[in-house]
Amino acid sequence: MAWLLLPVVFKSFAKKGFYEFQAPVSLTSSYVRDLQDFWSARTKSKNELYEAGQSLARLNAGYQIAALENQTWQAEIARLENLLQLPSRPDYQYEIARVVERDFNAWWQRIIIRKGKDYGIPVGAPVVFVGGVVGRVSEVHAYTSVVDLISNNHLRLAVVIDGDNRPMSYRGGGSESFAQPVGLAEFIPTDIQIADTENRPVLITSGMGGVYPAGLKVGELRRLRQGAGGMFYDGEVELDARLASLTEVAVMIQIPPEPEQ
Amino acid sequence: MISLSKNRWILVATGHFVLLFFLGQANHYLSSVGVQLFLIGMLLSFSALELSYSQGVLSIAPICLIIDSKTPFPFGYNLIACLTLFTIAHILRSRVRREVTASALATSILLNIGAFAAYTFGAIRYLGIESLHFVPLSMNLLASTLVVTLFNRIFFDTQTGVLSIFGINLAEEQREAR
Repeated sequence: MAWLLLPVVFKSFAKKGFYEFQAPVSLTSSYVRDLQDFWSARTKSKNELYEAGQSLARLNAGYQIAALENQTWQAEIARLENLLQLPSRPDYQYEIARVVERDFNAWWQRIIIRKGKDYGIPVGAPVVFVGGVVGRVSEVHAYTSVVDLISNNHLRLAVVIDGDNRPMSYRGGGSESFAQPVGLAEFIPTDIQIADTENRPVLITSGMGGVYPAGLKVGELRRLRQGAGGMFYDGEVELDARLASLTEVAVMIQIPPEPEQ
Repeated sequence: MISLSKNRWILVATGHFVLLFFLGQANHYLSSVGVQLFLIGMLLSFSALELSYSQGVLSIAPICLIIDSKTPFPFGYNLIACLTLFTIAHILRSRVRREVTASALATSILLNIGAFAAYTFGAIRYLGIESLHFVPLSMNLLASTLVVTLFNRIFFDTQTGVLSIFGINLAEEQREAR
């Protein structure tokens, strides 16, 4: 009862204090895991390392070409924006961070990453990985940040189906044991069908709401059912299976636009 | 100089923290299969059965607050839930034969289920009921109960062993008290 009467400021200060007290232990364990990976890589034979180096070189070559293409597209977009006098879209800086701890249970799904206030991570920043959206930064501490995954029930975002511009609503659907994380899509137009299970509709971010830029993959529509009002479908969204074993993510930090001269 | 006998809660809380650390590591690797172990009941059980009320509260409170700082619930929710369960177990401990391993195990399992229920209630209250599914909840509880069954005795023996290194013999103190 006495706890309930304590002022919020005290509780907030105590929460920060207790979090920062245990944070170095979690951080150290993540560095130890990195060291384990390093030493396990050291046990690989020279042939294996040579083959890995070769495949990395091929990947690098592919990425260099893609980077050049991106530069060309960006120049073209900038030219058209100038021509049509469109407002420029927000620019992001990517902060790559290692995952310190994965906290997935039946109640919530979140990860702790190894960058916090020391790298200027803001609360609410979108977090992505190679498979698309990871989630959103919910807490920022001195050297770590907490990221809520998109499978969390309270995380909602506006999505569209790739190739279709009608907006829908997405929210996390919780975790499943021995299965991929899931989400729920609402307000799906009734002309959307899942005819081919191999080629299911892909949900991407719509860019509305201002948190996530447009075009980031969220998941694939797996099952449709009649929505509550009868005018739309609700759908089950299959999220990327790699979300459950993330080791590295990228935090997207918006770069403030330069003031016009 | 701090008297470790009078401040045995420091040793017990450190032991609890070490267990939480290993639990965090296990859960990190188990996340890929969607199972999470939950062993708070084991910590509560040791503090409730082996320590006095004040020492028990002191050993549990900092650990609960550390857990609280990492959960999305309001800060203090875990502390209140755990202290309530701890107090119930402490009041009822005179009715069980504490030196019997089975009664310690039963207490740990019951407290773990109680804490799990408190977390589920908290998730419904603060995070919403929509994302709670029966299968993962029951899987997590089943896995946690299994781990408590396997490791409860080892945990109790380790904690008692560490205390005995510092000259605190819990079994002898309990005999003298009787």
